Amino acid sequence: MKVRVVARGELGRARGVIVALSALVVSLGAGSGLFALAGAPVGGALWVLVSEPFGSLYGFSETLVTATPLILCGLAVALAYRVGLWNIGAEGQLQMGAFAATGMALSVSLPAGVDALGVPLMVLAGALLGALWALLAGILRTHAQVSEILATLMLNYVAVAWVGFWIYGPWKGEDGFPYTAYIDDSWQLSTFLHRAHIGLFFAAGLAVLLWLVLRYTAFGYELRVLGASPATAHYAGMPTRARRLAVMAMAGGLAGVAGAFEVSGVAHRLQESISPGYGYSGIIVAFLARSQPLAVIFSGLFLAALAVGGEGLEIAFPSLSSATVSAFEGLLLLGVLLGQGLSRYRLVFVASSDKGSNVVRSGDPDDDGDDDDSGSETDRVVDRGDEARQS
Amino acid sequence: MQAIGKRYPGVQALTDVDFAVHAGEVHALLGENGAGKSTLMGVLAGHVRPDRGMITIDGQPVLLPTPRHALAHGIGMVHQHALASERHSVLENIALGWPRLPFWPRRRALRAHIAAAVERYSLGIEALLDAPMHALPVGSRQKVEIARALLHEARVLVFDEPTAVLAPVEAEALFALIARFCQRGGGVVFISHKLDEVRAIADRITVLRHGRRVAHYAGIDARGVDAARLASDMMGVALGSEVASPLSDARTSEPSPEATAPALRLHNVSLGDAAASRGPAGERLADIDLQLDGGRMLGVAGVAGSGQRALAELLAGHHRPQSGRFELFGRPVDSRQFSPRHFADAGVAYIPEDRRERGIAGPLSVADNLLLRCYRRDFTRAGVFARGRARRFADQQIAAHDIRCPSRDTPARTLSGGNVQKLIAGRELDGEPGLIVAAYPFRGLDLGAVSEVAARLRAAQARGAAVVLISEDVDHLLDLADDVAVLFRGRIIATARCADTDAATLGLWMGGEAP
Repeated sequence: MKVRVVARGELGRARGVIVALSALVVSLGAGSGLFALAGAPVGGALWVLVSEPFGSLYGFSETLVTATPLILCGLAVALAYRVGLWNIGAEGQLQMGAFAATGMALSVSLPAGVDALGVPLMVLAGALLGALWALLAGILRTHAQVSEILATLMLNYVAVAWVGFWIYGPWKGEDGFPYTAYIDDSWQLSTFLHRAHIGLFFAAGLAVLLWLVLRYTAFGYELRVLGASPATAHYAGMPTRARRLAVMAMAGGLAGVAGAFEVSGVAHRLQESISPGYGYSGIIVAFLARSQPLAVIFSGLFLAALAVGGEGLEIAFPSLSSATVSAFEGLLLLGVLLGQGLSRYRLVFVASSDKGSNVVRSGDPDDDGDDDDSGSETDRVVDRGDEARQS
Repeated sequence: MQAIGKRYPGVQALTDVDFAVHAGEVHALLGENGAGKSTLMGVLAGHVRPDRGMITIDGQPVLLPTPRHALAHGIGMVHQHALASERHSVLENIALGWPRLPFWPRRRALRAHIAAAVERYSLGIEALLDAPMHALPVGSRQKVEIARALLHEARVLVFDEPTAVLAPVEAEALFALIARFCQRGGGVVFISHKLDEVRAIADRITVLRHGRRVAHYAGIDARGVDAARLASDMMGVALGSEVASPLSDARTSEPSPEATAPALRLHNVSLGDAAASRGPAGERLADIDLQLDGGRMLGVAGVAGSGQRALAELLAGHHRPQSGRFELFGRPVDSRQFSPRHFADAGVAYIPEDRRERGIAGPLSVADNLLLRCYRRDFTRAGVFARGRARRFADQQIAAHDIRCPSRDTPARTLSGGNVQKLIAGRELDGEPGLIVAAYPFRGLDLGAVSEVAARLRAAQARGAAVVLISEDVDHLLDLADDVAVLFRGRIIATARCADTDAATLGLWMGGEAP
């Protein structure tokens, strides 16, 4: 009996969900093993993981608070990826957005009666600086062929250092700690459930808007062609450079808004830990959603729930260190991503007949079914079928 | 190979096909696109597992479940477009095929071994071993694949349409190579659409149609068979009906219209290396003088890599020339206007050479690919895309151009070569363009598809469009075009009226023998 790995076409939507769920179950099983090793009750730990983010209104509100920046950063990565660009810089764009928003709130005093303008101004400032920050990497890519992966990644460190400079320097609080003074009430986003602020709806709305743009506009069509085949976009006379730059700016703007929301809606000041790595988690959010804007809403919520549940675990079971919890979260994500990747292949069981008259002379008995030729075979299935009907 | 059968979902690709390769012989395999040639050779090369049938080598039954098994049995494939790593040298690319390559190869020994093999068969790439792969002209890239197969001590070489990308001189050299290989006791499978080539070199001919072997000629029969008979076997049409030359049909049916307005005027136009750096080496143009009027068709002939790609891209606005005067439709083009978009808006259609990489966006649907030229003009109001209308348009186009696909939502990359070309040609010729640049539009198409595309080009011409037809097939050019220009090392070294010249003369010019 031999096993071959054969590529197959796209899964249907229903099957995709089944794959994701079963991957979840498998990795939960593996994670439970981890809990058992650490000496925590498995059932109890799993219960905390679910009850903490969803079991109480407060927990649920925390999930929503965390989901907001994750959705925005996920969109920032997903959008860029749709045109073939890797935006690893959502973290830096978020930091710059937070910086700009804080600057706006600390330096501008709104005249009475226009209080309502405060939050939109902050969001605008955050979006603009985030966009500029990403655009920097975009221009390096389109005009100097510098890899946008490196440029966006490196700019993260610059952004973090820039924020550090302001909160340790000019904006240092009166008590001497590295955070700014609180912003006035008029600059704060209103909340609807404990700490959960209305930025969540804004983030979800942006995801829907992005979906509409990609699907129903000429601009979106150009982005899809550009992402599918840059050479074809160039051939068709699309302004590929301008579109890439526009996408980078939009992506940076999204992450910048996330930064502004963190200041305006959650921390109410700029501080060192304004983001515990939302920008990097955004990469995972985008991947789980396969860069589909609508799916980003759900993968953002999923990751947020995982983060909240993880914190709950550490509190509930002292024997679980934060490292164990991180390892568990990693296992879970790995499982889901593996499920996505592996579902593109199927196993074929071949009765081995090597002993019979049909002799295979071969240096390596287990043919590893390399992806390449099995891939070409499935491609050919469609190809041939098509041609044969033609003749 | 005996009684080979293979079924794909929805189609019986091969039915009870027998095929044998004998030492010292060239066995030609003929058939239309989709007749089963590639599937049969895929079975032989271990890419495709047959459902039925048996393969024997030297009387021993064998299984060829993977390409590696086939190679181990001495079966080597020479693909139309060599699969190679562009950044590595020719030598390194050949070394990839060496069966006993150690983890730390000793470069000198490797080099000596490969150089010896290359020289033994006089492949003609001895001087190019250290050149980077991307600098190699198309005709020589094939030699790399041949060298790889020979290193494996291949006893059977399978050539998949080897001459499709070769000029006549290069093809002659290839035939000589095939003859040498056969003299040493090797067997050759030769897949081609060109009947005269097949008749010239084949010792055996097998014709496939709809996955069945419909004709087989051997020995004296193979040498003596005439083209009309082979064509009728392939097409399944009774002998005597007119199938031999679809292009001359197109020509006689409509007389060439008279020239109308000027379409192209190029004077002393040059294109340097930098602009064409993405293409293969040697793709530059010098001192190009061209005149083409609406309603005329200019054929461009030349050995592969003589500057055809640069010329096509120049005429489609992809590059800005370094010097010279460029007039399009009677108006000079200033240097800022050299962009694909400006040229497309001005009415230039371009059927590119690399269809799959450039002509279509493979992962996107057939419908999306059909909209590539007109999405903005016809389907966008205030930035919003009329999705429903675009879908109906796509369905119309699929029907009008006879693009065979399961639905408009099928990813374009899954289409067969012929259907991809129908999609591109249909899309490009649809907007009544004033100038059509067609680079190798017939490459790899079967006779039916060739005459369809040719008819569309002729129709556009009759409507008053100017056509630049780039092809390596001199007969196509002579049959279709009014005038012909010959490119050699980036220059136009000769022009003539097609009526006043013949294939032999063009062949001389393509080799650099200027008149």
